Amino acid sequence: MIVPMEMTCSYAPEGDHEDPADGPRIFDVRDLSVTFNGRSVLRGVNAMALDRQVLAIVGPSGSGKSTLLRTMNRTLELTLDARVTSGDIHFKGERLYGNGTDPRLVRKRICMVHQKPVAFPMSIGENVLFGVRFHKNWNGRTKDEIIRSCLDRVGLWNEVKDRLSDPASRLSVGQLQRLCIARALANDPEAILMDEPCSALDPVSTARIEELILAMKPQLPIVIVTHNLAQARRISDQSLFLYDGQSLEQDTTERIFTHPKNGRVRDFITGKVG
Amino acid sequence: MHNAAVLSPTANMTGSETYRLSVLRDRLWRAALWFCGFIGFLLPVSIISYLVFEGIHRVSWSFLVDYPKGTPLGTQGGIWPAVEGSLALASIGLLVAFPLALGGGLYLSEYGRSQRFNETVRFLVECLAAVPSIIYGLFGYAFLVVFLKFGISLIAGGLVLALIMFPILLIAIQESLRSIDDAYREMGLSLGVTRFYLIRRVLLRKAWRGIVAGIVLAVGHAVGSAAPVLFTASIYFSKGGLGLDRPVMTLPTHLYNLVSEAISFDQAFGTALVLIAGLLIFNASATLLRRLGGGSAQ
Amino acid sequence: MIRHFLAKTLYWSDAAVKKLSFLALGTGVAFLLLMIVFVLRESSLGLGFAMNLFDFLVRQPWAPMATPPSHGIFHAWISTLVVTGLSLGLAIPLGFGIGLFLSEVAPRWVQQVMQPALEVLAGIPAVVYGFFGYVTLVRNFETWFDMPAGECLLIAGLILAVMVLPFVASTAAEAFRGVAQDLREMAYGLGVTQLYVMRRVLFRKALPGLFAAVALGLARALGETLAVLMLAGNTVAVPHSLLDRGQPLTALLTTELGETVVHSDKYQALFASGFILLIVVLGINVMIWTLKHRFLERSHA
Ligand SMILES: Nc1ncnc2c1ncn2[C@@H]1O[C@H](COP(=O)(O)OP(=O)(O)OP(=O)(O)O)[C@@H](O)[C@H]1O
Ligand SMILES: [Mg+2]
Repeated sequence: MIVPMEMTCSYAPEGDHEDPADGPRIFDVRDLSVTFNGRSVLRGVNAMALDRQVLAIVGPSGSGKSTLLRTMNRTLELTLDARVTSGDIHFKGERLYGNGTDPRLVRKRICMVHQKPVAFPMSIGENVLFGVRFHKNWNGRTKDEIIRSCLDRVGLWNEVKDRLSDPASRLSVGQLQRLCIARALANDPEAILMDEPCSALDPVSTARIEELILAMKPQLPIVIVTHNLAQARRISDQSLFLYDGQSLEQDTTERIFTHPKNGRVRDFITGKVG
Repeated sequence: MHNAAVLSPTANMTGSETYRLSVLRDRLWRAALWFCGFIGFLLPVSIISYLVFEGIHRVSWSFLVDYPKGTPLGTQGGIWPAVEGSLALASIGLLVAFPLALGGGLYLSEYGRSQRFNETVRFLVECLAAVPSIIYGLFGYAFLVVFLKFGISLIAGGLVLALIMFPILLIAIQESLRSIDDAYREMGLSLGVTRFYLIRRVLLRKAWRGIVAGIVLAVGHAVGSAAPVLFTASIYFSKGGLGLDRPVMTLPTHLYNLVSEAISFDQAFGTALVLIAGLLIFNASATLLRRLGGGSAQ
Repeated sequence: MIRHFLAKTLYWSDAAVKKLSFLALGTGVAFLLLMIVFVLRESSLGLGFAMNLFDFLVRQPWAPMATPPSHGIFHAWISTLVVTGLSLGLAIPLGFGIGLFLSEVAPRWVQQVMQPALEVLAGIPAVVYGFFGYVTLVRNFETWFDMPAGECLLIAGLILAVMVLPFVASTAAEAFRGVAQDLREMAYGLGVTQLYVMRRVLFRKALPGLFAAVALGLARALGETLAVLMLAGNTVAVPHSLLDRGQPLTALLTTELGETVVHSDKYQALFASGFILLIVVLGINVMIWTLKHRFLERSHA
């Protein structure tokens, strides 16, 4: 990746953050810095996500997209040596990195879907109930109801309803990714984070996940990291461009992809860089 | 590539004289390696079949459940007190060592957040797993039998065996936890559950095969070792019946006594066979369990 | 909120498990450290023996009944050295051969037969090996070599070699298997013979692992007790040939400890020899550890 020196402009504040009128900020990332083992990986990132919208995070490999996502539900600290050195994230007005915030409650409310789906060593049904059995958020529903509704929402119910007690490891990768989403939905999350959820999938499965994201949008804010610019355009309302640990630009997807302000963003989008 | 010119033997393809010589040397070398492998196979097979052949006619149900009889004592009768003692010692050892090792393994691979600390402890444990069992016996004698005044007793021997088993178990448990892909932890914890819940529902289910293998290794080691038991728990003959504060007979020490005091080689063959067969059956059933058992179907 | 409360108890139990597991780890490791300290304490090594280590190790004979009694362990460590050297001299070439065979030559089904066979060999208890050696070799040696009693260092070394063999073989096999497959294919791709690849590529790449195999075998052989106790003859004379009887350190400990007055000079001498054995084995382990780390570093580079 060859980048001309004169283009390393710093993050342009304020101006990019004019809220579109439709809704309050759900996520508000303010001046966030993260280090791995002392090496700075995120540097003063600013970003925000709006309710009932999809925020796409794009940028070259190694720019810190996954790291930003992992700070947003406090799974970053599962990596030894990772530290949030400054800044904070506000979720619905609460500080995620405030004193006394329990990371596990944060993770219950903000779920994460990973790049590579993983089946826990139990049946398909139990995989869905994994979080529910811990958080006890039955809310008067039986376990069958929860399994059915969650699998239904991800479009997996008809495919697996006859083999709910089979080991989940027998599913195909595309099905498994949807199971992972169902597993997250069973937690009754208030937001969903997705880290390249389609990169292990074929076009058909990818299309299904995209449909699913659009179907979930009316209920939840969704943040998705993707390498696929066409996908970002198809499904997101807002886009954030990360470069080398800095947030270069955030705007509506429409504007970012048609009239980017930042030169580096323009190069990336037109395929000159990255 | 499939044309006749390439396949036909030409001078270039058969090679020079030196090349043929080195091919010959290669053949010889391979034959030597096959011979090594053959010996590696022959040794266990011949030792086991020799012991079976010599011992099988001595072993019967009454040999297992009878008490030693005859003059000198042990020339007749059975070995029940030794069987009982060995089982009791191994059970006590496992009962004490397993919870400690499981806790230790979980701490090292799941809870401990300092890489340095984990590696240091792991190094220590590996060192201690290599310490000869006779040293454990010395310690057991000086500390448990003499210093704590336990006397030569089941409990002293059981605790010494627990010490011997602890590092073996700990290493097995830590290894089998460590071989689980971190994606499981990341994904499980990102749903907001505690580490303990993740351990219970996911990690132990994926690791249990390795843990069972560790138990087999540790118990086999403990049941077969005579040196540490010799000064902490064992006695020449007992009338059976177990008590924590009383010494016991064990299979390995009984075998040792039968041979070293030249009491009865016939009985010794029987005892050796029972010991070996017991260990092999234990091993095989654990292997079977690991084959058939569900849980961590990949 | 009730749900919150439930979650709180679960969090609390997680913290409790964390503490408990740390406690378990601490207990186990503390006892093991206590062992080292205690063996050292019982030997009073700091007091008596450090001053005349030379007497203890070389000059004095083992004669606890003499007046004045003397407690030297020259005969014992010489016996240990002879028996260990003999057993490793046999087990290392054979073990490396088996390791190479398993990782490079054997077809899959042969590997599947050999693996459990070696496990069986490793799983046979020492006392059974001692017994086996006694009934097969000792009796025959009496007639073959016209010896009054057949026990000797040679037999102990032979049987010990069989005992150490599976450990050396499987560690060596692991070391050879650890050599990257593409390296191997690249080497074969140049049209050379298997022997050539083994000599020029595999041995070099696997060297640290092979050292570890030797060290592991050494540690095993040094600490082995029952077999040498039953086969080496158990006499306090200094051995002069392989057919002489001897008394390796571990055999000395086992023979004498039971009938020794606690904290007597002899008792301290026994613990001192135990401590020396312990230190040697720990030293070997440190060596294995360093090798492993150097190996890891190199394979990352
Ligand atoms: N566990 C870790 N330890 C040390 N450094 C890390 C770790 N994880 C990530 N990094 C570093 O942090 C930086 C950002 O990584 P991150 O995974 O967030 O990038 P990304 O934008 O998600 O890239 P990709 O598109 O390839 O997934 C990289 O330079 C990476 O090397
Ligand atoms: Mg990433």
